[in-house]
Amino acid sequence: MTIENLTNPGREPVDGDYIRITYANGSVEERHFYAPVEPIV
Amino acid sequence: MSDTLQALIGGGGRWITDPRQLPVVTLPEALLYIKSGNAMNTTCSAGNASTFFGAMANRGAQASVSVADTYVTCANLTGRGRLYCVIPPSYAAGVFTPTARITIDGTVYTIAPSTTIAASNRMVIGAYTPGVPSVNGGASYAGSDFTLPNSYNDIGFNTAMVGGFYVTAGNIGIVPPEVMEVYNMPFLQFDSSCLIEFKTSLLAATAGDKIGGAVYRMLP
Repeated sequence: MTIENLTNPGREPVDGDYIRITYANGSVEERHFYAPVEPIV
Repeated sequence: MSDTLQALIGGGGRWITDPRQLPVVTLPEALLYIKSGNAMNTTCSAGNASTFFGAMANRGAQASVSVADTYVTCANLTGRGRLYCVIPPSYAAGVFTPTARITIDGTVYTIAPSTTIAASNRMVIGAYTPGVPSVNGGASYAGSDFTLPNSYNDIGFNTAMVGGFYVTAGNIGIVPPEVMEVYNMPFLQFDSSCLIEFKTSLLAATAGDKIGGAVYRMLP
């Protein structure tokens, strides 16, 4: 799986950046990046 | 094979391919819940929306509108996958119209109420459970353990349709994808692409009300 930052190419994505995720099977997901929210256990 | 038998064994005819066939409900955002972890239950009210959609995006994506009546892309998916839930943003200062534009395998579908909905309401596209999701085991239940239809916290037939959609004054909770699949709740499957966009007729003043989200997953 590869992640490209389309808003700031070459930089680590920050909240709000538009990213492209390419999966091993060729599927592509484009969405805004938001750091995962950890659950409260 | 009959449709009934297909449905019973979980194959064939149960896939939805037209997002307009997904369940749709509108309700006050303060009654819309997401559960994240066994102790966390968050509503979609403006002050909590960042947490709500942050959790939702763990299994999908979120995006914010910035201009009135202008679509933003929540997610642009290429490949085979499943779409479970779409929740466009809201607006607090008066009635408004939320719209979701979902393009499935190249075909564009627009889902919007035919009239305005109430301020601080949300349109929820996709299946859900009635009642407040239970949190915390043992004696400190925060809501109903029974979220089946006509259970204690299911508000039932309480309001008339608005804009062609069911309105509820009761609490509801959105559901993680795998749980929906296990319990045979309706969801959409796409074969090559899915573009999720939404907008609101008027632009909210608060950041929380500008946020919307979707739940989906790509299939291997």
